[in-house]
Amino acid sequence: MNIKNNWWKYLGVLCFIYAITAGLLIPLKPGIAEISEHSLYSGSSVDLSVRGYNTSFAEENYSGYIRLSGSQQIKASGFNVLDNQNAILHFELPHSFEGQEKVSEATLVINSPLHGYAIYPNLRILKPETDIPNNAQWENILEVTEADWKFAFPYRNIIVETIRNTFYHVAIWMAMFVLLTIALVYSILYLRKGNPVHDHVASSFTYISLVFGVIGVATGSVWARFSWGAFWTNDVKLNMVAISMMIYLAYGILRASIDDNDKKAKTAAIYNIFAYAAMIPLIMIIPRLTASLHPGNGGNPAFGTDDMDNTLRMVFYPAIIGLGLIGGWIAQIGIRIKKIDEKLINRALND
Amino acid sequence: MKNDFEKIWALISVDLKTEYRNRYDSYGLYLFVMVVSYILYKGTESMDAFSYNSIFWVLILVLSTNFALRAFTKTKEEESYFLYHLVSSYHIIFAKLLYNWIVIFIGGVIFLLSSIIFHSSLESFMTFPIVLFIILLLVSSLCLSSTFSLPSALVLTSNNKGTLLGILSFPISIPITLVCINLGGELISKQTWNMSGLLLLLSVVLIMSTVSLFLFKYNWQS
Repeated sequence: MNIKNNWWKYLGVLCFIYAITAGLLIPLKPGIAEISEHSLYSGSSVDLSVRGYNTSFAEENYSGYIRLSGSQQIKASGFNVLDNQNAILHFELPHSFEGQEKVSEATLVINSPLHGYAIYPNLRILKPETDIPNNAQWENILEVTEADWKFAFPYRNIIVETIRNTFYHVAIWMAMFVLLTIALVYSILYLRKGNPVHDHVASSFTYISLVFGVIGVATGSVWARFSWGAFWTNDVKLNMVAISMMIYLAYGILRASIDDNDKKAKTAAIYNIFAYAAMIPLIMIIPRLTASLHPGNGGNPAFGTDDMDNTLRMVFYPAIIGLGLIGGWIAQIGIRIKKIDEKLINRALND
Repeated sequence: MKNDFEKIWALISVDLKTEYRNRYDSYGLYLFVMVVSYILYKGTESMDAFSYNSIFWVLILVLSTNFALRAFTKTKEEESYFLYHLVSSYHIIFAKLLYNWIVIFIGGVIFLLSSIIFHSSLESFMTFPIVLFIILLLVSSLCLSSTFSLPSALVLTSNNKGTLLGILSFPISIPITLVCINLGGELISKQTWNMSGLLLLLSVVLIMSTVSLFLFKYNWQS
């Protein structure tokens, strides 16, 4: 193997191995998995029992806060540690909060000097019918001192450890799009120049991206089982992806059904461009118009700060590069097979 | 020398004239539409408007496959050589697209009218906004004709045209049909538009017809 010409294969494999090892081995940040109560009355004193995930309550000095949606918070007056995962927090809630509403959104925050923040959103603080005056007061949130940066993936409720699937499921889709775009470019080149090699390139890239698409559906399906509860849900994106897979399967059938090589190449190139154009409204437009379980649909762009953070990106981008390069490698083997096939056929015809 | 519009119009009128001379061919399809609506009337005692709406769009899909397939197979080989020297490929695909649009739309209107006649006893069929529905039919038949025209030209070279056309164009037309079913259902239940769905159909028309216009050139040369 000549490293000078094949450096990209090594790079692809390295990126992929890095994505697998780093993606599976790096731990998650501490998080709050469960709390005993979601609705609290202002003015009362509450004992919140908290179950943490990847936390070490017993080993470190944790402190707990309840934050209002504004800029106010109250510190837990008691932090009874049961074990590393369980603790009971005691809060003396002030009797009033700003604004006229009866309900205020709040967030439970657990902070440790070593591991940083763990938050639990979706708390509600209700105003009782009769005010119970007490001495507790909301205090303003001071300048937050960030904990030392640690290489750990963020904790998200519900998806928890499956957040690692971002590196495989999402990255393989991205790689598939890149490969399909390469196939599109070579289809256009074939129509313009008529070089049969361009057709080999286009068809090999289309086939490997079809394989990538199937793997993408499979990994997504496993992910859906654990975060949404079923292998296949009635989600727009899933159905649209199924349809675009069908479009590219039709590409294979079209190629198989035409005998004449030139005609096959030409028709397949035309259909490939047509299919790519048809896929754009399917995957780019329709899911954004309809409500979807996927992040980044129903109007928001994906990959916002809520979905990705820098630690995820450090594995996610190499995963895309690695998968894309490996796909290119497989496609290259396909192109070589086709070239050899053609040569063999020509030799047989000449004999 | 005629200009582009005259050429396209000439091509469409030739198609329509041959269609008229071989009336029995398209009459068969239109009769099929009426028979379906009659069967639905006799076979189902009281069908609600929403299921009828879905059947309506599926039938439009079937109709458009048949019409699109006939659009190119009708032209004989000698005739296409003749056309090749007279007009450019853009004219031909544009004319076919518009011709398909017209025949699919007529089929849809016939189905709509016959279902209104047969099902007039049902209240839900009389209350929906028929003008809006016809506009929706206009847009969606243009959408379907733009997605079917190029694949129907592609399958000409293969030996199993009908099946292959289905394989090539059904995946693309599934979401279009789904959007139509949703829009039609919304017309029936809320009596109003969902503008974004209509714009989606129009954008599909734009993308598909532009791609068809550019790509048909390469198919036509061979």
